[in-house]
Amino acid sequence: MESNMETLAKPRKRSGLNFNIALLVILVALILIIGIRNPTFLTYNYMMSVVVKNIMEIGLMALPMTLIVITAGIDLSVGSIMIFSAIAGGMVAQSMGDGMGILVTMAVGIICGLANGLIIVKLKISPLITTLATFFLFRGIAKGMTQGDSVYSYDFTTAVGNMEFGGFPLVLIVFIVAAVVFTLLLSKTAFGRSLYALGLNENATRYSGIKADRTLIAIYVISGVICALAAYFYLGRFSSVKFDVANSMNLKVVTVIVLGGTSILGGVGDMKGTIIAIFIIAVLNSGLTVMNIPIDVQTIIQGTVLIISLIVYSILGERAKKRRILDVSKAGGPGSGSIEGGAAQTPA
Amino acid sequence: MRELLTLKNIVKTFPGVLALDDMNFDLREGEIHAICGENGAGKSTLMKIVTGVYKPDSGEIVVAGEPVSFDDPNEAFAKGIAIIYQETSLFEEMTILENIFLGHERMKKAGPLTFIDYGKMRQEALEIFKIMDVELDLDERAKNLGMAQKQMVEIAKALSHHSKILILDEPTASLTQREVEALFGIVRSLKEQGVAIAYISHRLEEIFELCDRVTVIRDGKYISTKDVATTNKDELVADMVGRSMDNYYPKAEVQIGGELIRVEHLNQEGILQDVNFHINKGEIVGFSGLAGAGRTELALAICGFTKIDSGDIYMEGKKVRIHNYRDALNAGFVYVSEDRGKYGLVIEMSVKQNITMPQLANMRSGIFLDNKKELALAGRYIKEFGIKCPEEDFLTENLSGGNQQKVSVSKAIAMAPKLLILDEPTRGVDVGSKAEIHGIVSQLAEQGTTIFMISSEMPELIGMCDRIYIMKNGTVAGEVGRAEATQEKILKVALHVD
Repeated sequence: MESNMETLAKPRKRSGLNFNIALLVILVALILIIGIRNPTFLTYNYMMSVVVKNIMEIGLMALPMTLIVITAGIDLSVGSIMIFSAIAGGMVAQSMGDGMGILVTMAVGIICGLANGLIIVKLKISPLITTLATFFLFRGIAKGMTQGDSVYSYDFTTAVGNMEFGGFPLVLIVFIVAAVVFTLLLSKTAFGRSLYALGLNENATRYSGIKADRTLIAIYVISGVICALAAYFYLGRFSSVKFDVANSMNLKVVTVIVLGGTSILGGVGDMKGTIIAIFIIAVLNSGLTVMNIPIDVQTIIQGTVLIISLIVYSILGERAKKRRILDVSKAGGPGSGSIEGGAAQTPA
Repeated sequence: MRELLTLKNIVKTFPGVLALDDMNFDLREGEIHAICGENGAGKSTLMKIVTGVYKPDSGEIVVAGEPVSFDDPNEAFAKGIAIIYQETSLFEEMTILENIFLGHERMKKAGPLTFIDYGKMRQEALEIFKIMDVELDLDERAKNLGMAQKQMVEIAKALSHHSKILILDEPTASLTQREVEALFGIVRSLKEQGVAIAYISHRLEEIFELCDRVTVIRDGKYISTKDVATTNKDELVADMVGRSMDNYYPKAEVQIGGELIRVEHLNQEGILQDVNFHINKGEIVGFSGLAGAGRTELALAICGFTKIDSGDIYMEGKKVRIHNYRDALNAGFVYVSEDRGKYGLVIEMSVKQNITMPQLANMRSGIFLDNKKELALAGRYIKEFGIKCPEEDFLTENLSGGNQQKVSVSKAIAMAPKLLILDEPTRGVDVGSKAEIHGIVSQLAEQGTTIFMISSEMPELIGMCDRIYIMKNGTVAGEVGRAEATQEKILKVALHVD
């Protein structure tokens, strides 16, 4: 009866853990396979300057996107916000100096996120439609501002985009700090709890006195802030940007989230899965290149990995569900009196 | 006149509930027969048996002299029994004509192909409209129709199936006076054509205006069938409520204190009109009224879920401003919804997470949630209310309905409310849990919680409350004290019968 109660206790947590372990196994396996085929891949220098650095903007954006997807929302405008804020800041920096450039980039990020949040919450338009529209809108404004020309990096962005500490890039430090903050935010705070509740049952969440509107607007604003943060690194890394680069970045971010086991329907998922998934995508991107696999085949492999992970997730989920039903019926079923006996035997 | 439908000795039970007990009902060709009873008396269960949604446990259904047994609604429909609900179920984007013949379109053959025969359908529809004596444009889309016109289309749809037995369930609930008259005209012309009509309504005036006979049911039992011409409103009301008071209302005597809440001139356009009431400390105050009288709307308004246009709310003499539910919680109100699954609980979360959800701010140590505090709070209420779950982290969806209801109430009580607003706390709950919930309510009142209780069950209100406000048309229409509260008095105000 005791072990029975234990399995009964945390079925959902267990399946989450299982899935994260499965992801970790995939990650290690991929690193080993690619490393054996081409040892250069495993060098510190290659890992830092290619594998990690190329994924960092996507990685940063995936953190707030996880919060959004857990509330059953989505933000398809992330790449556009990044480019728009990079361009706006870059243009201002040319004429008014770095300080203004930094401020304008961040302000644009916040305003874009706020616009998304307000449209979704106040006008009650679905996040998918809203951010699809703003995906085009923000790009369009960026194009209009630049008239299609490139915008160049300024001292600050060049510095942060390329700064390293003994080969350890600044962006990775920022990412690690952000990842820790977001992990704690989601798993340990009242704010994080309310995001899960919103994703599972928005009505009941509102009827618990949680300020749902404010919470939802906040996560889209956070997303905008992180996009602006990513913009500094992106502009510095490439030394110039045009309005039409990084067009599929939003889908890459969503891919990371889904691969990380967060349900697109909301309410299920965690930050650890997202973080592991970021590195899986990073290893696949750079690893397949280093193995000289043509780009079209790379795309096929990435799609296949995503489908396999979704199948694994659904199998694990089904199993957890079955086990839960089995355990409940063993314990006497939720409606029957015998579960009371079970409760009495649970050690205090 | 020929009997088209006869129900004999129908018994229907649900787990723990005897919904219909030895029910009898008959319907003759060309009559309009009203069915009357309080909310929960068994009217809708009876209609669901007639239309094949439920199968009776025992008893006999005879349609036009032939004993029948329906396995599903289509079989009842095929026997000519059609029901028109309050809420119509038309396809908004389709035309009237397409809606009427949906699923049984008239077809024509052209060589090897079969086409929909719009000409024939149009002709048939016009004939039906002639019988009903209405004029509607057959090519109008359903979304452009008013409520009354939609009902007409529903009736036409039923007639296109050659239905001889038509059940109208509260058809006038959302109609204006003029629309009601038009509907009555149609119902009368159908009667002339020999259609048998069962008419369910809360409005006694309508029964006397329209119907030939009236059957009263109460607590799932058949009470009486009378000719409308030989009875009167008082007699009907007496039949509807004439039950002896149950004694499972453990109302304790509580010292009533000073005024806790006073609401003055509360208005919400089209919903609440000049609502005034007050509740004293330690009181259990009931809110009675028919469905749609504005009771839930009032609770939602004072809790800040909906915006009020004007009016004042005073707590302990001080004016409070409530813009959202968080403000209401801070003022000491807690609302427990009647719809547990939709508004009460996040059933995919644990018992603990549900109980702590309204006060996560109190569950922190520093900036993080403290699992120990959460466990302590949840554990306390699991013990106090005897929630049957193996541990605090148990998923709420795996609990039985009664235990889920206890979690929902625990969540509210854990907030230590000054005013606990219970919306139909015992709806859909079996007799045993009902008594248990009444016990909890009474105990809370003893401990000093003031209670605002909405219920459609008058015996529950009379048994539990110190005072009862009666709502009608979005306003407080009357008030009765515990000593003089009777079902007749309440119903008279609610139905406005003098």
